[in-house]
Amino acid sequence: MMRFILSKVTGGARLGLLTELQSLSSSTTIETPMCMVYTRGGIAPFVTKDLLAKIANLPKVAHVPLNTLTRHHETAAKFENGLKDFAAMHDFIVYSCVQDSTEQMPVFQNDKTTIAVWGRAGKQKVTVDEYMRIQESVKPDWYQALCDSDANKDSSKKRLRKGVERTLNYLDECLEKHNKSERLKASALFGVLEGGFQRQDRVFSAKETAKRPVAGFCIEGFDNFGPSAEHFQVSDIKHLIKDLVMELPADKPRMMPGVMTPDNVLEAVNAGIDIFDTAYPYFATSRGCALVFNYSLENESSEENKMSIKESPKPFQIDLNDDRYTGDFSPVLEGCTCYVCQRYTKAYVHHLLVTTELLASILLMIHNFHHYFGFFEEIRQSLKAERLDRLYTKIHAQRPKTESSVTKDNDLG
Amino acid sequence: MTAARSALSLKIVSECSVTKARCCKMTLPHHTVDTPVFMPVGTQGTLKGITPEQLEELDCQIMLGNTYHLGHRPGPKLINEIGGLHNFMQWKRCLLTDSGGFQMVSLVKLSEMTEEGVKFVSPHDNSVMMLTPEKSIEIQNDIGADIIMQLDDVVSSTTTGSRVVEAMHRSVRWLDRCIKAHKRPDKQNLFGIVQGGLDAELRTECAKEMVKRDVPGFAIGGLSGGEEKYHLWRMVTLSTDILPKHKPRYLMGVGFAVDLVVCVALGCDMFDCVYPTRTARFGRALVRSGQLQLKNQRYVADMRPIDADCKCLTCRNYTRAFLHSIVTHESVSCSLVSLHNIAFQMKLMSDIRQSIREDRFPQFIRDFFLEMYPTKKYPEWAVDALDSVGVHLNDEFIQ
Ligand SMILES: [Zn+2]
Ligand SMILES: [Zn+2]
Repeated sequence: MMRFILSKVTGGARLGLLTELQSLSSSTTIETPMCMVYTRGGIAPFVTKDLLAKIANLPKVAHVPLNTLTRHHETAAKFENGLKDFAAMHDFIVYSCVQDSTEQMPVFQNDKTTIAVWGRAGKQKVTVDEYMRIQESVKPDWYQALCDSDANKDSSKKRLRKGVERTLNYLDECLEKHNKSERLKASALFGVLEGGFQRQDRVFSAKETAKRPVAGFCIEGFDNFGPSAEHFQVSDIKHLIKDLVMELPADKPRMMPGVMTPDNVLEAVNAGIDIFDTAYPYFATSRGCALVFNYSLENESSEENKMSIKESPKPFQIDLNDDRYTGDFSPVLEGCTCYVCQRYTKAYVHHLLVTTELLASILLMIHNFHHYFGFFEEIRQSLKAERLDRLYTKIHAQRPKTESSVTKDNDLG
Repeated sequence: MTAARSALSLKIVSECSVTKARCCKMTLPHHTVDTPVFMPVGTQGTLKGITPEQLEELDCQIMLGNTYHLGHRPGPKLINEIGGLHNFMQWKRCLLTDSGGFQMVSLVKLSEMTEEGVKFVSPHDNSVMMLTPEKSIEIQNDIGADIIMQLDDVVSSTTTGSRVVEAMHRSVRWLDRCIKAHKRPDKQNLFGIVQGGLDAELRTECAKEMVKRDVPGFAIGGLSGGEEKYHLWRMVTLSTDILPKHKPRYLMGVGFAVDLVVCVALGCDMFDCVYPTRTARFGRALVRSGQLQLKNQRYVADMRPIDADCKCLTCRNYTRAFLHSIVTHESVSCSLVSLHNIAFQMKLMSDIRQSIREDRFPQFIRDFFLEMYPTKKYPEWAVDALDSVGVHLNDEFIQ
């Protein structure tokens, strides 16, 4: 079963290694902090696997939210290796989870016995039995226990406490079934930490979960996921995270879904988070934006790039729908070594966007994945070279000047 | 007439000893194309969800762009400025553009044919505009495809009477205007289009007039509009009888597998069709026995690939069951099915070419038809068409 080796801690930030990943070749290990490849229905969005394989620093972990899989897990169950065989993901390890961080979860729909998720056919209520049956079909390398993460800044104390209790109960039930399952013998089960913005609940949830024989921890329940998660600021809760990770054993990995922008990722890394998702590059792609923030400690951005980021309505990215790119024959990001920037111009991507051609999303997803994966590689290198503070300063300098320019903007179509 | 400069050379590699089929090497500025060839349609400077490199890996040699669409967005000036459509879309092999006329007549409700050109109301700003033969060539010169098409006077293939006569004569006149307007004959090859509706006499007259003009190649036009196949093959075969052997013949808008096999036998070299990629969007995958509607519930647990013999990325990796679970839900499924459908068309053409080179094309035709119609209920038009070139589908004794 997957193991985690902590190799170095600087401040709160951790450099670690995921090993004994049975499904990959025995020598393959995965360094953390890392981000997983987001998938929908068991396949990366937009990009076919030949193109995906060409992306530098591609993490070998596929992030599989339950919602896009509904019903098809029954077919996956027919395969010895579950979803990995069904979706031809043999070169990945599979992480399967309840909610999809790119979609807002159903709100006020959970109860003692069921959790609501948005499936393709609308809202679905999932019991522990059903959930574990799905996981047996999927046969992930690693998955989270069923959890009630429907919480945000405004959740009442009562609601939060209920969420914590339910999630612990679900965990116990999942653990019981997990231990009896032949098919899930090699799968690692993560416990989920809840408690919204309440320190007391958070600490309780962490303490209790840490007592259970879980392989790692997911920290959820700060917001309801989906586009609104882009406004979620890790800096608002970094003390909360620091307090709760005190309760967690150091030798188990911690993941936090739905952390988006690079400044937030760095805050979370500093607070001791090891594993992230790729909702952010997926969102950017879906709306026709390219990530262009500069994370290179060697190279300065061109003045032009700095200007275009500054003028962009979104932080850290440019909107290629904008008519200003109609005749712009420069690459999506000057100096980028990705497949797209080596070949195509902003003008071409803009043309594909205005003509609603599928290739627009394909090219943007490749660039945005490449950029985000590269950013995580820089985080790891910076941790090794003890220069994470410089990266932090560099990223923070690129934040939009006023927070209001971010929060005002709610059209995330 | 003096020979015009040309950027095309056609070398006949083999000829079928029974039918009119032939295998050629057609050398164009960007690539040497093996014919008979199928050309996928990349309307707006991209082929639905497939990168140019993936297309090359599928052995696609030439693709189409639509002048009407590209002339509007991103516009000829911008394409010219970046060094042509090849450069803009990063496609290294050959391109062909149509004249824009057909698209205009089929997409723009308010269009009118005049001697000067196609008059139309711009759907974008409602202004009255005119696409003349000169304008069409100017745009196509900016786009820079290896092969460009004359503007022709398009009438529906089911139209009859004086309008067809007028359109035929006008198309000949417009070819002359196109030749005159063509600024880059050393880099781009202008093809004339044989028109004449479904009237054998008019077709013959048009083909003979076209042949007098020394253009590098000819297309057979006006036969993709849902006319009876009974007429289609007759018009095709009389055209290829008149068109010169040493020039390529392009049958416009035809690309279903059966039509391809028959029309190769009738002597056509080039084909295009939006169908393989358009149908992929709806989850339909092409196979030699017809097509699979992957959305259909029957594939929910079908563990086979679309086609076990297909070497495409999709068939090498995914089952019908998996594709069933993502078609019409995840846009990447459109890329996957398109990849397979293009691979299917390419394989069909390469099998056709190989059988011609080995002079066993008639047997290939019989095998192909038996696989497509296991009960031997062959379409009558195909039986007739093939009979006319010496391949007898229903004759049990001829092997
Ligand atoms: Zn790039
Ligand atoms: Zn295939």
